[in-house]
Amino acid sequence: METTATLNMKKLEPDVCLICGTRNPDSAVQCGVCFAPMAVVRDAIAQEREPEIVSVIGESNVGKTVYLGVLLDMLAQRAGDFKAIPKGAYSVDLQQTVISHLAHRMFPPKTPMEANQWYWAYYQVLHRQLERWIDLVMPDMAGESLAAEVANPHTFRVIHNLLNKSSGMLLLCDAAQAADGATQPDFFGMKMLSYIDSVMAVGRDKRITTPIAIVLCKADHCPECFDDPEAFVEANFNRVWNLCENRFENVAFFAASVVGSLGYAYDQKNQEATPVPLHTALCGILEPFEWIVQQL
Amino acid sequence: MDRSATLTPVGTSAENTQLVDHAIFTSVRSHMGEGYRIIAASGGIRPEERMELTRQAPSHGALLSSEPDAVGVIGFPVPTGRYGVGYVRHAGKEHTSRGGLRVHTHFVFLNHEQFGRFACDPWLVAGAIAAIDGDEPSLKSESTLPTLDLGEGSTQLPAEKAMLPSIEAAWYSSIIRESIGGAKLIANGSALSENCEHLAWRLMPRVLREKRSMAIGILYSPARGVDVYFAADRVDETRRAAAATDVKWIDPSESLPGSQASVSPPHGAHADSSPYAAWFHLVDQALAEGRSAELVRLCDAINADATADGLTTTARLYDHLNRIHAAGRDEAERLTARYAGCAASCGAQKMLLERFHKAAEIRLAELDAESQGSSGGINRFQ
Repeated sequence: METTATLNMKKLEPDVCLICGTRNPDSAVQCGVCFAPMAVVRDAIAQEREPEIVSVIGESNVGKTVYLGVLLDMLAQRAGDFKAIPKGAYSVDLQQTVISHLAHRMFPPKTPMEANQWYWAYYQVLHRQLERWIDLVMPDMAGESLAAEVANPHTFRVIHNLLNKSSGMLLLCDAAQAADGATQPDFFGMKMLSYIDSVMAVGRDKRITTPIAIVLCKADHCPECFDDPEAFVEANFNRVWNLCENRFENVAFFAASVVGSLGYAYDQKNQEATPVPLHTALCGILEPFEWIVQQL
Repeated sequence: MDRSATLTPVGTSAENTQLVDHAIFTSVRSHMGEGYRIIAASGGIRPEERMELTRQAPSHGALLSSEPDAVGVIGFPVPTGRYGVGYVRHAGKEHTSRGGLRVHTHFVFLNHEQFGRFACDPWLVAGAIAAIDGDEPSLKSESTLPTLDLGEGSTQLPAEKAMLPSIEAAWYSSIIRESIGGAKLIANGSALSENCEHLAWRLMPRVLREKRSMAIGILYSPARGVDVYFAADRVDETRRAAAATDVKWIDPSESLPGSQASVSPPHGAHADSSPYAAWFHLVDQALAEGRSAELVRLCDAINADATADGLTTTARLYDHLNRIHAAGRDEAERLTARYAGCAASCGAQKMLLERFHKAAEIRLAELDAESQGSSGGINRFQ
């Protein structure tokens, strides 16, 4: 009997974009419509498995690039129960950029809004406990593009297609800002979830089953959220919490931190302070991903 | 060199004002959020325009040059019928301190008439924005801006280029051929004379300029789907980004599409088999003879009907206008009869027809005088 994966594989063609289904010229490097790398579909055909898309989403400057880059590096270094193999050199670019910048005590550059400049990672991941190989595609989307798409749906078609095809999502929220009393992270999270709700388009009486990990980023600023992330979300992201309860069936809460200590370089001439990541102290990076993988 | 840096500031006058909707797209931190977004906009900007603006707007690291004074221009039609022009520049350090400078774009949206007052030329519109904004781009996050007064407009011609090197003339010709044919193209003018990109844009019929998007000074991104992109710098990078796409690459160091066409075929016969052959012939001839300014004026007047038939009629009319000055009686009468009841389908044809009728009248009078003079001579001889 053919498995579902094998049946789906029949639909994959090397010149048809995995994300938006557009037929592209044989020589195309990126899809001409959504700019996903065509290597993803070609690699997927070579693997004879349809890949699972896991999207890392969140507001601009919340730390999506750093989180994803560090996560990929941990997977590549066999952290936890994982073994990971990048499929193509393009998959390594993001982790290399993030790790080399952090090693030089800098944050990586901002992700441009132009979709053709986003990093995409395609990894073959083995969870040793589950004894199962999964092909994961993880794009690093610009927070500004996400915000624009959420505000005006179909501004960036690639985001709509990606979220619609995602098997799991990591929604990154700025715990440091929320702990300071800012409402913006809560509102953004709420908008994002509301958008996902409309993209997934399930009936009013049903809840969305796609696994969503709510990750409290920059948790080193408010270590209390490591103790009980769920309680932290309920207290500081109450709108998000309520929406999750109402519309999402499969949600889990995590806290994560990458930077161990932060210094500030002050430019007296321009009166500007630049944050300097003095060292990394990874905490809670792998857990949300592990949970997502278990749900797939 | 940053080519788009040579904008001509356009003055404003209190008498003849044009109020336009505008928006500022940049990265600031405010109570509503942070990152690149529309931080301020006038009330008349419609949702479709906001969406298109967000798709087109350059974000972090998008200016080709990392110099603080780097600028770029972007122009694009929007589904509402208006034309958006963005004046792009740096505005200090990016506030998240993740390296690089903040990219700031001031967009304006012009209707058909307003864009026409700038000869459908984004360089001139950007010049007007630059004159208004001054040295300090606004970083104020405001929900509603008042409309912007762009002044009376300007149809100033790009700097005239007397005799063009043949390779540069061929480059312009190729751009015109490809853009009239509707192709998306990248034109590398980095090795050519200053402002060649501006002249190339103005050598397109005005009615086509209204429908084509363009960009200069910003990083090439296929995501923008720009029709005419001018690669003024970082050419190799642009080439890589455009690889394996259907975008035409127009580069003076390579074989230029259409450049093999003969510049001086006999009247009425064109080596080019394109339906636009007569127009291309006119363009090639005008460029070869150093009449680029005249050609720009003609293109500026083509405010409708840039179809093959329309441009062929305009090209023939232009040719006949040149010929009528030295035409013999038979030809002058034949051409006069041909255009006697002719209706113009665009501003250029109207202008040429008026000139033609005047020139034909003068020529026929000259021929009459000559004929009277010669018959007088005969009389004297008799």
